[in-house]
Amino acid sequence: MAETTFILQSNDDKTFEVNKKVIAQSLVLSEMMELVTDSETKTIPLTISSILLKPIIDYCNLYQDASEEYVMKDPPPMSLTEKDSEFMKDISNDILEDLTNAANYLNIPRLIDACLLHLRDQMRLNKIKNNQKTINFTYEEQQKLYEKYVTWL
Amino acid sequence: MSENLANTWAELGKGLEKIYTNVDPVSTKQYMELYSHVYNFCTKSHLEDVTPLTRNRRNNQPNVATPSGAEFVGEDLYKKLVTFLEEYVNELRAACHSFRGTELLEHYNRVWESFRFSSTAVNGIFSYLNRHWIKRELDEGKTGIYEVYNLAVRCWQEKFFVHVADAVTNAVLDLILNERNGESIPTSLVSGVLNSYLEMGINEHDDPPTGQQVLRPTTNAPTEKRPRALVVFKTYFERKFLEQTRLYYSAEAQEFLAQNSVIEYLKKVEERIKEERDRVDRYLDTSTLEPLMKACDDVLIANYLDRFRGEFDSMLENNQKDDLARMFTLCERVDGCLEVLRSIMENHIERKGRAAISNVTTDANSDPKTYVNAILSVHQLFSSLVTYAFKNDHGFVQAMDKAFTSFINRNNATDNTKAPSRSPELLARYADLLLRKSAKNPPENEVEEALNQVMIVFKYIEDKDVFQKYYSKMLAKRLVHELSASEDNESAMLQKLKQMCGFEYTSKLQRMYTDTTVSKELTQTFKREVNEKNIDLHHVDLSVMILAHGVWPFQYMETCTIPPILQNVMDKFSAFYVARHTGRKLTFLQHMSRGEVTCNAYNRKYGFMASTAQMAVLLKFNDNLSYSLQEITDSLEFKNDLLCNVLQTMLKVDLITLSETKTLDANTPMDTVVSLNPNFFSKKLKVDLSKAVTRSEVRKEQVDVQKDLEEDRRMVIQAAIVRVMKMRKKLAHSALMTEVIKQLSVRFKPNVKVIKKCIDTLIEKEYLARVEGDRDQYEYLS
Repeated sequence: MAETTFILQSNDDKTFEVNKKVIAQSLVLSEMMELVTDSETKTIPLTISSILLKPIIDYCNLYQDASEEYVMKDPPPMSLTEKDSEFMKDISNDILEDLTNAANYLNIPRLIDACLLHLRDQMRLNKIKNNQKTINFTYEEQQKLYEKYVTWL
Repeated sequence: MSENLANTWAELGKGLEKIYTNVDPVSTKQYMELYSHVYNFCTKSHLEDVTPLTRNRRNNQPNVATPSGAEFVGEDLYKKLVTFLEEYVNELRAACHSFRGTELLEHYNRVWESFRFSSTAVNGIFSYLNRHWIKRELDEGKTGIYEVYNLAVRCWQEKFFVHVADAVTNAVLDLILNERNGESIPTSLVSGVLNSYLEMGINEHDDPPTGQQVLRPTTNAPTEKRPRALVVFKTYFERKFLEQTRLYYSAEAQEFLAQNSVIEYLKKVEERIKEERDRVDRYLDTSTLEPLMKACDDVLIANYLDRFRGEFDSMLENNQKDDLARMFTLCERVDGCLEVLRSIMENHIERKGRAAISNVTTDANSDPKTYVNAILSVHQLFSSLVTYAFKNDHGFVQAMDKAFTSFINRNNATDNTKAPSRSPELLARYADLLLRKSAKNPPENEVEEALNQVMIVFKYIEDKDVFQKYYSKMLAKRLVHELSASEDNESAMLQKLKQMCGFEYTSKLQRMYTDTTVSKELTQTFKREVNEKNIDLHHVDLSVMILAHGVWPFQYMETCTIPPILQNVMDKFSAFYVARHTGRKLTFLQHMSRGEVTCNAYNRKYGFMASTAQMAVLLKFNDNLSYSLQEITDSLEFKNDLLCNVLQTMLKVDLITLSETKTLDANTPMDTVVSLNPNFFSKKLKVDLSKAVTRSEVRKEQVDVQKDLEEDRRMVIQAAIVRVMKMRKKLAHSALMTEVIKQLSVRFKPNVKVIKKCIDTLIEKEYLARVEGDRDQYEYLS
C-alpha cells in the first residue's frame, strides 16, 4: 500500500511516476532507496532513455502485485510465460538489445530473464532465416553477453 | 583501458570520499551516477576488448575463463577499492589513538555505525561488480576476494580493529564490572560494540552463530540482516569475559560467605544467576549463555558444595521448605551434587522415622493405631517436602522410598519383640480395628480414607504374606462372628489389595467372603425345608456357616461331647447338606460355634450367649444342680485346662459357685464341687459368657502364625526355584538366587539361608541336581 511515489527521470528529461512496488522490482533502486536518508528526494535520475524506460515501467507495473519476489533460478526457466510473451510482442527487435541491457543495469531479474528468453526465441527464428546480416550482427553481440551470463545455451 | 580506469576511478574515488566522510547525505543523483560509473566501466570496456566469438560455439561451459576482458577489468577496479578502504581505515585508527575507556567506546561505536552505513551504500553502488565479477571469482573458489560490504568489514577488522581490540574489550569489561557492582551502564554502547565483533567474523567460514544460516555471500538479495559469525567475538571478547566473571564471582562468594549464612548465600546466588541471564539477553550473544552459566555454577556452587551439605541437614531438621527448594534448584545445575543430598535426606528420614516409632513403642505393642499413625505422619511430612522442595525429582523419591522401606520394616517396635514381622501384623490389626463393629463407628468416608492410608504403608512393607495371614485370620473371625462394620468397606479393602498385589493374593479372602453369603442362603433354605417337611428340631433354632476347608484359617479342635439335643440338630442338617452336595464331608468346628441358652430357672427369663462347651455344661445342669469337676470332665470328655476356661466366666458372673476354693485354675482339686447359684441375678437379660480371650491365646496365636508362615514360605520358595529351573534348565547358583529373590520380592523378602536349605531339599527330592564337575551349577531334572 505504497502511497509513496517516486519519480524516475530518463536521460532525455522525461519523468515517470511510479509507486513503491515498481521500485521494489529493481534491486538496484530498492537498495538505494534504503540508504538514501533524505526522504524528500524522490526523484531518481537515470541514464536510460525514455524509449526504454517506458516499457520497463510498464513491465514492472504488470508485475507489481506479484506475491513472491522473483529469484533467478539455476537452471533458468525454459520458456516465456504468457504474460511475458504478450508483453514482448510489443517490443520491436531494435530496442530488444538495449532493453536487455537496461534491465541488467537496473537489475530487474524477471525482466532480464524474459528478455533473454525472447532473444533466444528470436535467434532461433533467425538461424532458420539466416540471411539478415544486420540482425545477425546485433545478435552476435547479444550472443556474447548472453553466453557470458546465461549458461544453458 | 587504463585510461578508462583512471577516469572512472577519479569519479568514484571522489564519490566514495564523500560518502565515507558523510558530509552530505547521499542523494539519489549521486548514487545513480556512481553506480553508472561502475556499470559502464564493467560493461563497456568488456565489449571493446572482445574477440569475436564464433557463432558456432554453442556449448559454453560455465566458469571457463572466457576471453572477455570483464574479469580483468573487474580486478583492477576491485584492487583500487581495496586500497581506498585500507587507507581510509588507517586514518580512522590514527584518529582514535588518544581515546580511553568509555570515551573510546563511544568514539568506536560512532565510527563503526557510520562506517557500516557508508559501506552498505558503497556495496549498493558496486552491486554490479558484486553480481558479476566477484560472484564469478567466488564461484571459482578464489580466496581473498569478497563482496564489497564484506570487504569493507574485513578491512576494518584487519587494519583498525586488531590494533584497538584490547583497549576496546577492556573498556567493555570495565563497564560490565560496574554494572555488576550495581551501577547502570549505557547498554546500547556495549551492545553496539559487541555487534561489531559479531559482524567481523563473517568472513571466517565456520561457526555460524545460533540461529543464522551459513555464509554464502548473498548477492542481489534485498538488504537482509547480515549473517554473523562468532570467531572474532569469541577470541577477543568471550574468553576475557568469562575469565573476569569467574574472578569476580569467586571473590564475591568468598567474602559473602565469610559474613553471612549459607541460606543468605543461596539467595544471593539465585539473584546473581538471574542477573547474568538477563545480561545475556540484553547485550550478549545467546551462544555465550551456556559457558557463562557453567562458569557461574562452577565458581558459585561447585566450590561450596561441602558447606551446602552441612546446611542441608539442619535445613531438613527445621523443615525450611523454601530454603530447601532453593538449594535444590541450585544444586540441580551441578552434576553429582544431588546424589550427596539424596543420601543425606535418606538418612534423615530413616532417623526421624525410627525416632517417631520409638516414641510410641510402648503403646505400639498393644495399640496398632498409634503405630500406624506415627508412620503416617512421618510419611506425610516427607512426601509433601519432596513434592514441594524437590519437585518430585526421581532420585529423591527413590531415596525417600528406600528410607521408608527401611524404617518401616526394621524399627524399635519390631526389634524389641521376638517376632520378626511385627510391622505387617500391626498393620493388619489396625485394618481390623477399622473394619470391625465398635462402639464408635466413624462415617464411611473416614474409614475409606483411613484404609487408603493403610495401603500407603502397605506399599512399603516387605513381608506382605505375613500381612495376608493376619488379615485373613481377622477377616475370618469378623465374618464368623458377624463383626464387620460395613460390607462396602470390606469389599473396598479387598479391591485395594487386589490392585496392589494381584488376584492370587486376594483370592482366598474373596472366597471367604462368598462363602459367608452362600451360607446365609443355605440356612434359609434349610429352615424352609424344616418347615415343609416338619422335621422336629426340638425348638432349636439353627443357623450354619459352611466354610471351605483350605480357604479358611481354622483348625479342627476337639472340645467335648455334644449334648444330644444339639447332636440331633447337627445330624439333621448334615443329612440335608449331604443330600444337596453329594461327596462333601462336613466337620463341625465346635470351638468356633456359639449358641444362646434360655434359662427358665429364675424369676426372669435369662438368655446366656455361650460357646459350645459352655452350653454343654449348662445343659448338664438340667439334670442335676451340682457336679464335681471330675464328673463333668468324665461325662463330657473335657481336657482339663479347657474346663477351667469354660467355667471361668460363669464363675465371674456368679452363675456358679465353687465349694471350697474361690479360684479356679489348674491346681484346683478335681473333687471341687461346682453348683448352680440359686441367687443369680443380673441386670441385663442377655448375659454374654463367651467373650473371654486370654492373653496367652494371643501369644499362642502369634507363634502359630509364625510356624505356619515358615512352612508356607518354604513351599513358595521351592515352587519358585522349580519354576525358574524348569525355564532355564541350567543355572549358576548366584543367578538362581537372584532370580528367585526377584520373583518373590512381591510377596516377601526371602532369607538367603532358607533358600539354600530349600535348594538342598529339592536336590534330595531329585528335582534338581548339581552339574558334574561344576559345583556351582544346577540343572533341572524332569
